[in-house]
Amino acid sequence: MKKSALLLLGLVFLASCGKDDPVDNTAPLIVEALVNSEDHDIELNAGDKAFLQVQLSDNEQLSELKMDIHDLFDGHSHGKSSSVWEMTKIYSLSGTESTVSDSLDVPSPVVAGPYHFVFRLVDASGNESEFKEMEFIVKNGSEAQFNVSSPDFSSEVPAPKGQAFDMEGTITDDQDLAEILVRISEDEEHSHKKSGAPIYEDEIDLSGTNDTSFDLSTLNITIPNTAETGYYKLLISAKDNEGNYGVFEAEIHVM
Amino acid sequence: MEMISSAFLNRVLFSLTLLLSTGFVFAQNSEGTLRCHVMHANTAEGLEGVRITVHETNQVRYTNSDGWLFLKLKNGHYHLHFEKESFAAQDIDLVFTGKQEVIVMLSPTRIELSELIIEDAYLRMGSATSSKEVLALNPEGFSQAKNLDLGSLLESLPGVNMLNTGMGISKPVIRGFMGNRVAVIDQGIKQEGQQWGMDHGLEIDPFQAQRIEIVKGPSALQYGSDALGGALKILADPLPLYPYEASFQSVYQSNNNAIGLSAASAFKRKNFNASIRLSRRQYQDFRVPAESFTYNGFILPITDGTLKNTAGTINALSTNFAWQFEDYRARYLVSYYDQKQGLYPGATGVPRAYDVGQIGSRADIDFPRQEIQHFKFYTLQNIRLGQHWLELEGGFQRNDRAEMSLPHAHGFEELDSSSTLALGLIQDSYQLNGRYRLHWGKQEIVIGTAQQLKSNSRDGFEYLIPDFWAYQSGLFAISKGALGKNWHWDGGLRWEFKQLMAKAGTSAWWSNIDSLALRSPAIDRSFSNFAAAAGLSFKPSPLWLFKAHIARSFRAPNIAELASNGVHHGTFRHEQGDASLNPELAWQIDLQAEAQRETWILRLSPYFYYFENYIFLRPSARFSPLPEAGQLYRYEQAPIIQGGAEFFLDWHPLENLHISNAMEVLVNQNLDTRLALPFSPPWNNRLALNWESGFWNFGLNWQWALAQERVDRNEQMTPAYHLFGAELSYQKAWGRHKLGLHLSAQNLFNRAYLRHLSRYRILNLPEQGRNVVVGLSYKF
Repeated sequence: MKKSALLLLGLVFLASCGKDDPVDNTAPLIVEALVNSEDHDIELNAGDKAFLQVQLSDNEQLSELKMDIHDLFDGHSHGKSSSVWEMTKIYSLSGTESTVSDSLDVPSPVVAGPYHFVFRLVDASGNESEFKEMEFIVKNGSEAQFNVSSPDFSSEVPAPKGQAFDMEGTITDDQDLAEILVRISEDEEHSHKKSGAPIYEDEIDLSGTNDTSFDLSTLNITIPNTAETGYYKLLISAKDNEGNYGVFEAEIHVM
Repeated sequence: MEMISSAFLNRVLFSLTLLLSTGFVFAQNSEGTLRCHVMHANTAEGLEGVRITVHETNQVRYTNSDGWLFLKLKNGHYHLHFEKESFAAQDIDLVFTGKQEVIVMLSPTRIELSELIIEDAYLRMGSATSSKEVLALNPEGFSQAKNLDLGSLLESLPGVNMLNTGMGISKPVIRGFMGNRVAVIDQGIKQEGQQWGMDHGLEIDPFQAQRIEIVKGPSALQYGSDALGGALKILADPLPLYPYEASFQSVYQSNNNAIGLSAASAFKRKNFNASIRLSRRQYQDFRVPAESFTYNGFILPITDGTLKNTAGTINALSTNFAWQFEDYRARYLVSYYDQKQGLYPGATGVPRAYDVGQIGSRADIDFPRQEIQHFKFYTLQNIRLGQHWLELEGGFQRNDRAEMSLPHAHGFEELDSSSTLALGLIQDSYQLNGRYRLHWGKQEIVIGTAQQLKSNSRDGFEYLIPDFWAYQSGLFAISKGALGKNWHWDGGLRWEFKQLMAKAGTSAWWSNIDSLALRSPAIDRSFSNFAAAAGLSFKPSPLWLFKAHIARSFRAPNIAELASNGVHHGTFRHEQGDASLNPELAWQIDLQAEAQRETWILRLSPYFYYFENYIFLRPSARFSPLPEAGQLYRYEQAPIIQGGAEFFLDWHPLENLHISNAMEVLVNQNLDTRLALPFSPPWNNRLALNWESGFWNFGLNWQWALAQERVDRNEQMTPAYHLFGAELSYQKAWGRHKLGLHLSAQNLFNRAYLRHLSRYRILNLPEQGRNVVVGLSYKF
């Protein structure tokens, strides 16, 4: 019994020694990704140019960066799907530090709404980085426009727990509005580190054939009593019958 | 056709008929009485109620109050089992020539494992003489009801684990090997179900598994090249004892509101017996003791500690018909298994907080999900030819596996959202096997053949593997013998031929569904190789037993390894096969040292394996061109080594107290990448204490898994954890009625822990929290 244990140990030892160069197990890093010099609150218009700048680093040798552009239309079926912006691009890299600069053309026509970039990085040994996701809004002029008269989002907006959150203003569209989505979720700070479950969500289907405007005061938003105090993101998304989404995002302070 | 002259054919037919008729002439003439006398090894008193089973004819009889049994048998070769509760079982090989007496001494034991015959199916060698280690699990109604699926039952055995995808999908893992390196035999037929997939579970009703055996280590000779890591055998139900029997089982699990029900009934009349079983399980989303999980630097919510869309349903039906005559036995099996299993949505794309945070209904099974239907037909024919029996098996299986999800989620913008079949794989497999035991002088040899034809067709908007068909043929000869009184040997040779053919695989490209992109090249490969094994067992005294076994095994690459080209959801990887791969060749040494006395048994099983060209997925440092898909992984080959050992202790210090401990350690390395293999089971230990008193049984168990720091590239390490469980059961028998009640708690302290062998590990999702199981079983 002792002999077989010794043999086993010997073989394991044999396997682990004789290392001429250590195995590269360190993942590469996406240091920073900027679109038009911004890393958040990115808005692009149809036909625009988006200037991409991604900074990368690895301990030994970089290999490839992959960029995916994909919509975030919540998986619902939409209208003119052929003009949704979908793109996959792979950039070849080398060295231990590299910056990828690229100029992307936002297509026109394009369905307006929330999209995201996803960046993935791999090094020459096959180690994968954490991926980096950046949300952005695409506008084409035909999406819903928001005219919020109250509350005043230029300064801090309190949202007391257990109480109704009243809004005033209108959403207007050159087409018939189909769906309004309201969601309050934990605020993604600039470091994009926290994504919580929504504390409030409501979807309103507008069944009319010519709803070109929507009155914000008809929303029945209530801040739940059970919510934790903190800063939250209020998102109102309005979809028209062409499939364009207009997006309104603002910060509220739940207290 | 003109080449074979009719004269030649006639000669062949004549010789064959002569051979067979001689056999029959033999059979018709001689019959006699075998006198069996079974005595207590210590006192030489006759033992009453010893169950004697004649393996070949399936006869079961019991000794009388003096320990005698007179059996009417035809001349021939037989294998007899002698079993009695609280005594170590024994088996003997016998050449019956008309009038004989057999004396068997049975030693008392408290070790339950020793009470039953556990033996290699073909060579009929029990654990005392076989050079391989065979473990048995005989889950009685209540303990079987503890677990949701077969895989979980197996974790208690040393060296055996499971790879699970949430609750409801699990694959057996023997010493780290799984998929096409472990053969699963369901009541005689080798289970075929796209088992190369990491998140493809076993399509077998766990209520059906009344007796399970596991062979650890290379078993290719008997079960084919797929069994180079080991084999899991689910044995057929034993013959009913009464003309009519029925049983009912029900189990409830609190963690995911799981309800399992199974009803079975068996009927016996003269030479005919039949049985039927109907089972249903339904379970909701399971719960974990965590409110969030961290993935890719994000903290994502687990609302109400519930993992969204992990619910499922399983329906299963199984029937058996059997006829038994003196010279002929036949059994027919028809079974159907249907499962709908939800998959955690965060596992098949970038997990989104608002998506995974909204658990919706806990009971519904939404997208993404798996839908599996498995149909099986099998027959086993036993025909007496002279002194021996010819075994013929035929089987058909259809495994219809569908992965359903929304097309939009995979970039297929142009598809209607009602096309939800992402990947459909339908596999039909036909099996034809034959075995014959013959004697060459005194030497017993089993020769056999295994033929299999498999065809697979695919459907769906995603692509992973092409349509293919495969033909596999095996020929083997195995034998055993004794060298003196204390030494036994067994070994054999198997030659296998496999041919795999696939047309070029094409599918619509995601950005243009009218296009057809070439995904896999046309394949026409054939492989032939042989496997060999030889082993020794040495029992110098009743206390000690030593075994050594060496084997040369091989395995031809499977369709996924040759021709896959697509994203395997759940890993975010794009997996690509290599049509030029060669078969794996393995050299395996398995050793065992065992010490046993009446109240305890100690077993140490070290092993060492070397693969010359193990097939594995290697990250290519390139990305997949498919949308939202990660790195491209390619199937490559490299030498690997693996060594490990299991240590097992079973001890009854007092008559009522039972302590058992199973420990396993494993170390492996890919000699090319110089990294460990992925999903290597961490070193772990399981300790169980049971107190039995009258009708009651109370137990405590503790599982300690060490941290797994030996990982593959891009695989995460997993921290150590401890899990505790407790159980209480009540079992009462009166006449032929048996009632069992069971109450147990798993993960008693509701610990959040990560399992290294889990498909959800990649998302850092904890496993199931506290689970209280209540079970009821009734049999008569």
